[in-house]
Formats: sequence, structure tokens, C-alpha cells
Amino acid sequence: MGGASRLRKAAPPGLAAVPAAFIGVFFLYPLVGVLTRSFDAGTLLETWRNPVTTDVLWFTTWQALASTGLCLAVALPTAAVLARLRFRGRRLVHALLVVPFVLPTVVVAAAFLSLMDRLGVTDRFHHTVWAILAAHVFFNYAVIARSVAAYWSQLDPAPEQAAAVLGASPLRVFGAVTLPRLAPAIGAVSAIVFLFNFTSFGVILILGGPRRATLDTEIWRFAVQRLEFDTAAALALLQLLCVLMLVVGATIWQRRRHVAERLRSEGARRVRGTADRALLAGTLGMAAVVVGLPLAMLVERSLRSGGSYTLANYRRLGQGGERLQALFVSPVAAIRHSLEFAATATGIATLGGLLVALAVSGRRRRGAATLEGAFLMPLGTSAVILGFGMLLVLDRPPLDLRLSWWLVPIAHALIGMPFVIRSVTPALAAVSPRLREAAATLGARPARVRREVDLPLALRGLAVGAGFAFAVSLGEFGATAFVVRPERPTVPIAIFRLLGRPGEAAFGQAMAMSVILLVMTAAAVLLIDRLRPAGAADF
Amino acid sequence: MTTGDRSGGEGLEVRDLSVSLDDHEILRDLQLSVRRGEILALLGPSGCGKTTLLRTIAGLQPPAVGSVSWAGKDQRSVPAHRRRFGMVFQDHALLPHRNVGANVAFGLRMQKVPVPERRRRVAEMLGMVGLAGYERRGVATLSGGEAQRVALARALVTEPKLLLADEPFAALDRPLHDRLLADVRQILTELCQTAIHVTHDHLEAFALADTVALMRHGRIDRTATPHELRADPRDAWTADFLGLGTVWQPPPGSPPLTGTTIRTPWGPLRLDAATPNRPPTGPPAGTDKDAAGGGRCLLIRPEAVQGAGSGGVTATVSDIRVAGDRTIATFEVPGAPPLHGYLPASFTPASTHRIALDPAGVTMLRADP
Repeated sequence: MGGASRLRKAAPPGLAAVPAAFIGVFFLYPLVGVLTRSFDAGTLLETWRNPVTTDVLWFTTWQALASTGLCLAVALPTAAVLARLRFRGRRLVHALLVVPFVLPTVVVAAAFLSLMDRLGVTDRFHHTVWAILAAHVFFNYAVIARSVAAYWSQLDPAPEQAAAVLGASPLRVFGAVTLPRLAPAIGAVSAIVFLFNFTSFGVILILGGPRRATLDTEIWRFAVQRLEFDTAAALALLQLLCVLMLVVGATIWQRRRHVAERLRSEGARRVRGTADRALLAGTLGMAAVVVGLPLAMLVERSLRSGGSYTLANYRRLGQGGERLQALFVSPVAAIRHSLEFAATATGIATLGGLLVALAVSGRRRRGAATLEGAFLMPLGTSAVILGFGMLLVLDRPPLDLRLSWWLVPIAHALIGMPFVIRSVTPALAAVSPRLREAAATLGARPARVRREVDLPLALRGLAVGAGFAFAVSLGEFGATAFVVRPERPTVPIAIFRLLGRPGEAAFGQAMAMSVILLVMTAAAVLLIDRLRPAGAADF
Repeated sequence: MTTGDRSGGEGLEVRDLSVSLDDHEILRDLQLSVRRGEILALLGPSGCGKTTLLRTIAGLQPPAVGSVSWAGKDQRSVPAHRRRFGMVFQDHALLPHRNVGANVAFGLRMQKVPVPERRRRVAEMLGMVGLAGYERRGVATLSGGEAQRVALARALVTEPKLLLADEPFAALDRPLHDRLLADVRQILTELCQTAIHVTHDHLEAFALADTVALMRHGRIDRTATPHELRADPRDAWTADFLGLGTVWQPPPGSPPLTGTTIRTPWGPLRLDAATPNRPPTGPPAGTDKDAAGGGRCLLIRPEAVQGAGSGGVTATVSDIRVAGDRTIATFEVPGAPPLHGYLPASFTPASTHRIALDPAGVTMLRADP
């Protein structure tokens, strides 16, 4: 019976054809381009055997490990407080904690530059691994705290209570019961954070300088500065293999560790007693130092010029002038470019993501997971590889986009689309099939059911996804650094160039622009958090 | 409100219907007919396939074999949205992003009914279900009973040929349940609405329906009026499912049940061949495997249990509960199933009494194979 079988699917799978073609041409094709280039060049093994490569790989790995360990040490107490204590402003703290994660890497780098400047330790720490580690902690502190807290707060407290009744001290309870139960969540988020740190680009490029190079910064240096594509491709292949190994390893570990935990909602209790209050104060203080201080210093530095507080740095942004020759364009123009790129990229990502989500929601569970996974691939690939691939393959007919305005928004849309899919798919899956059936028995055709039932109910998720796509596009640096046209820089690119210029004026302007980018991104993120339905997926 | 195709003429015919879900046969060779204007209750225990049958009729579930037709026209190639069968779901299935008025107006909008008429009909229907003026309320603010009334209004306002209701009252508490039941019966009768009402609650089925279709193991066991079912349940399973009384199986080798005096744990009992003690007549609908006879057993209704003064047998009252304006006592006699009877409220638990059976309250049944 036609009507019945059509109803169970929200949409025909053909809907996904357009976004599939998009991913195929602009993601898979460039990726294949990187692979073939690395094999064809014949210099693959030579590059890999080079002691410089070994050094870079070693540094990439250990800085990522150290960053992850440091992040865990700093973030776990916060996770405990967020999971177990209920206090006024808890939701706000939750929301504010997302901000660092979506902040553009250049803004974070700029924030740490101004912090070092303020503390007068620039000479000691700039271009050292310490600056890198601190910035990585800033970035991932909230990722760990939020995701571990989300899992923790749903754990049934009964086993802890049982252990306490059996005579275990609170510390003993934590070590013997809670920590092992949290292991799956901690393991999963550690793998993700390690991956972020391993493929970190903007932070390392700016804070690490020429002395501290990772695989991703080396790929950029060889491809963009030295135009040695063969070497860059060999390094890219090495990076891809490392990431693949990590992902496979993490997946296997997670499967093995999987324990069926009985989850319940909200095990948090009210703050009571001095111990709780001290714990809460300590945590909020820690969050303020880790997240708040660098950002406060960034704002402070942007308002300082020539030893006094002034808006001069901001005023200078409007002027083209001789001082900004290296930019080719005024910073204000860069803001305009960024907004245009972000709007276009958000449009593409939202439409594509919606089509994919509609197609996925019509399928049986297993097929849906595979299909969705295919479209989430860009999320697991470093932006540097994506940008490099596009640079490699989209430079000849029929797809000669080197000079095209579209290259940047396309790259941003690829990175933004997974966020849209991840927010819309759960919203669609939550639509009860009864509602579709009710609409059908009332005379709505399948297409009408989609428009009247699925679409309105997924709208909130769609808005959240679009907000993320917009924020991600505003701050995107890794892929943009490869595909941007010199005369059309985005805000992050303009900040990067300003930071590369000598002089107090350029530095002050970079800080001012970083603050503007910070405000734009934070506004988008806080808006998203207001829209986000309770209990929706975290990224 | 027009009642054009709601009364008289041919209604729903379900023929030889078989439906499988995930290789599991849910409905087997099922037959069912519903006359126009008739309220039919589809009664059966959970898992017997009631919901699947309803969804198949609605067009939400493809049949493997067989046909569903309305007014002689096969509906197999007609998709759900063109059948004009209204449906009320157990969980209401109100659209959460629309208010009460928009939910009720949804079907009329699909039929492209002009706005002024749409408004008028929505208001009229909301008044009918007792929710006049609720148009602008959000559906999340409704109580369970109100939500169910809105769901009913939404289905009825489109003047469906057939109303399908899937356990719509299952989630409601008893007083609300009973009030809504009476209201729904009145509304459906007033509209001459043909309806199939799925339920597992025999009291609900008896209170609402003109006809009850008893469903068991994926087929319709029997279709009868509530009175017929109650007077002559025919077999032990039905009597037990309808909660009509205690079913007692005579020990093997007992003499025939009619014309002789039977020894029961509650004393001797002599049944005449006349009604209401007549033996089951004919096989139940859709099956003939028991036509040859098989075992017989007795249904002992509460009204059969009488106080016996000095005669009868001694029974212990194990439980007392009040049902409506009567008191039902449970009597225990060693070696016999518990027996329920209507008795004066002065009885207390654990007291003993002498009881006997009145043949007028005993019905003969076919035993379960």
C-alpha cells in the first residue's frame, strides 16, 4: 500500500543526493587529491624519514598529550560541581562555558598574547610550549567539564550511597566507585580533546611561532609559504594516518569499556554547608581564571594604546591608510567579508544539513547511522587538510575555483554542515510517528506532512545548527588560510596578518579586531544556548 | 452539520485480512463488517492485534492478504490521507506547535474549507466536546481528558466516513474515563457517526458500543451485542475475559450436565435443558474446530450464589469489596475455585456461611480446548 510505506519515511532518500554531491566534490575529491599527490610525488618516504619530520611528529604528539592531561586535571573538579551541585546561575555558567570552545583560534591566541603582555612575560613565554598548553587548556576546559558533567549528572547515585553506607570515606568512594564509572565519559572526551590538540593549527601558528611546529603548521608552511606541495602532501598523509589510528583505537577502547549504566536525570543537589560553598567558590574562581582572565586581558589590551586607555585601536580599524598596506583592505572591509562568507556558508550548510537530516530520519536505524556518519566526516578531518586538498584539486578545469569568491564559503559550509545535521537529526527523530499518522488521517499528503509536522518541529534544532554554522564560519582559520584570496581576507585572517606585523599600532588593532570577533561569536553562541531544547546533543 | 454518508447503506467490509509485522503474523484471515451509523467496539486482550487491525483499516499499515473496502469500494490503493477515516490515538497525537483551534482546524485546512466556515465548524465542534472557547489554548496546557476531547473534535470535525479510536481513554483515571465515555457515546449517536472503538476493557466496550467484536489471537472470535455476549458467553475464555463469574470445570467422567443432578463443590445442582442454561449453540465465528463438541463447563455468576440457611455447604468469606451499590464477597470452599457472590454488607472477612447455587444464575459453556 503506497500511502502506508511512504508514511514511515519522513522523506525519500533522494533528498540527500544534492548534499552528497556537494560533499563528494568539495570534500572527498580534495581528500583523494591529497592522497594521490602524496603517492605520486615519489618523495613520500624521503619526507617521512627526514629527522625534521620525526621531530615535528614527536612534538605534535607530546604537546597534545600534555595539553589533554592538563585539561583533565583542571576541568574534572568543575565537572563534579556542575554535575552534583545545584546553585543559582548554574545555567548561565553552563552557557558561558561553551563560549571558549567556539571562539576563533586567532582570538584565543590574541587573548594569550595580551595576557603575556600584561604580565610582562612575553619574552619568557612567547613561542614556547607553555603558551600553547595554556591556550589548549582554555579551549578544552569547557568541553571536558560540560561533557563529563552531563554524563555524571545522569549517573544513579545509588552505588556511591551504597559504598558510603558500607564505610567508604568520600575520597575512597570517588576513587573506587565514581571514577571507574566515569571512565567511559572521560575516555571519550579525552580522545576528542587529544584530537583537537593534535590537529591544532591557529594557536600553534601564532603562539608557537617558527620554533614550535606541528604537522598541521608544517603542512601550511610547505604548501602556502614555500609552495612545496609534494612535501606538504606527504605530511598531510602522515597526519591523516595518525588521526585514523587514533579514531580507530578510541572506538575499539570505547566498545570494550562499554558498560550499561542505569541513567537517570538530574542527580544534582542544593548547595549546603561550608564544604559545598568552598567547593563552588573554588570552581567558579578556577573557571574565571582559566576562561575569564585571558578574555578580560584581551579586552583591556584592546582599549590601551600608548600607555593610556582609549578607543584609538578601534578608531584606526576604519582607516585604510598607509599603515595597513600589507592588508590590501581595511579591517572594516574584512568584517564585511566575514559576514558575507558566514551568511552564505550558513545558508548552504543549513539547507544541506536539513536535506541530509530529512533523508536520515526516514531510514531504519542502521542505515541511518551509516548515512549520517558519511556526512559527519568533515567534522573529523582537520581544516588544514581540507583547505590544502581544495587548494590542490580545485585549480584546474572543470573546477577552477582558485579565483572564485565561493571557495571560502564552500569550505566553511563543509565544516558547518555536520553541526546542522547533529542538531536537526535528533529533533526530527523526536517527532512521534503518531503525529505524522494523525496528519495523514486528516488528509495531509506525505509532502504536506513534512511541511506541516516535521519542519516546524525541527525548526528549533535547525536554528541551533545554523547558529553554530555561522559562529564556526566567522572564526574559521585553518581551511581559510589555504583558500582565502589576499584581497578578500576574513577577520581571523586579518588578525593573523596584523599580528605578523611589527609595531604597537598593528598589535593594538589586532586586539581590537579580536574583541569584535569575540563579541560576534559569543552573541551567536549565547543565542544558540537559549534556543537549545533541554537535553539536546552537545558537540 | 451534514450527515450525508453517515447513515444507512453499506459500510466497512474487511475480508480475509492477514497482516504480518517483522515476519510475525498479527492478523490471520480476519473478517469484520461495520454497518453505517454503527458503533462497534473491538474488544480483546492486549497483543491480540486490535491496534494493527485499526491501523490497517486507516491505511497506516499495509495488509499482506485480503481487502478493506468501504461502501463496496476496495481501499487498498487509497492512501491514508485520501480515505477520509478519522483517527483518535491513545496519546492524542496533537500537534505540539499548534494551538487547540489550529489542531482541530487541521483537517478542514487540508480539505481547503474556507476560513470563515472553518472557524464556525471548529467552534461548533469544540462546543460539542465541551471545550467551547478553547481555540487559543496551547495543547501543552491541556489535561489528559481535555487533550482527548480535542483529539476527538479534530477527528470528528472533518466528518469522517468512519471514526477509528485506538484505546483513547486508556490513560485516563476512572471518574474522568466514565464521564468521557458517556459524552462520547452521546456525541457519536447524535452525529450518527460510524465508529470503531478499540479497547481491552469490557465495561468500556459494553457502555459505548452497539456491537462488540471480540478479538483473540489475530481474528474476530465473535460479533454480538453487549447483551448477547453477557447472556451467552458461549465459552470459558470469553466468560473469564468478560469477568462474568467463576468458571468451573466438572471432573472427568462426570455425567452429562443437563437433565441430571451434578455434584459441585458447592452442593448439588440440577440444570434444565431450557435457557439460560442451554448448551452452546453452533461454533463461534470464524472457527469450526469445536463444532463436534469437546468439554463442557459451567459459568457460575454472582447472582447464582445464595445463602442456604441450614442446607448447602460451608464457605469462608476470604474477601469483600464494594462494586457500585452492591457488595461482592469471595467465598472459599476447600478444593474449589473461589466463588464471587452478591451478598449483604453485614458479612465480614473470615466469617463462614452456608451457601447454595441457584440454577438460574448458572450458564453452560464450552470448555477451552
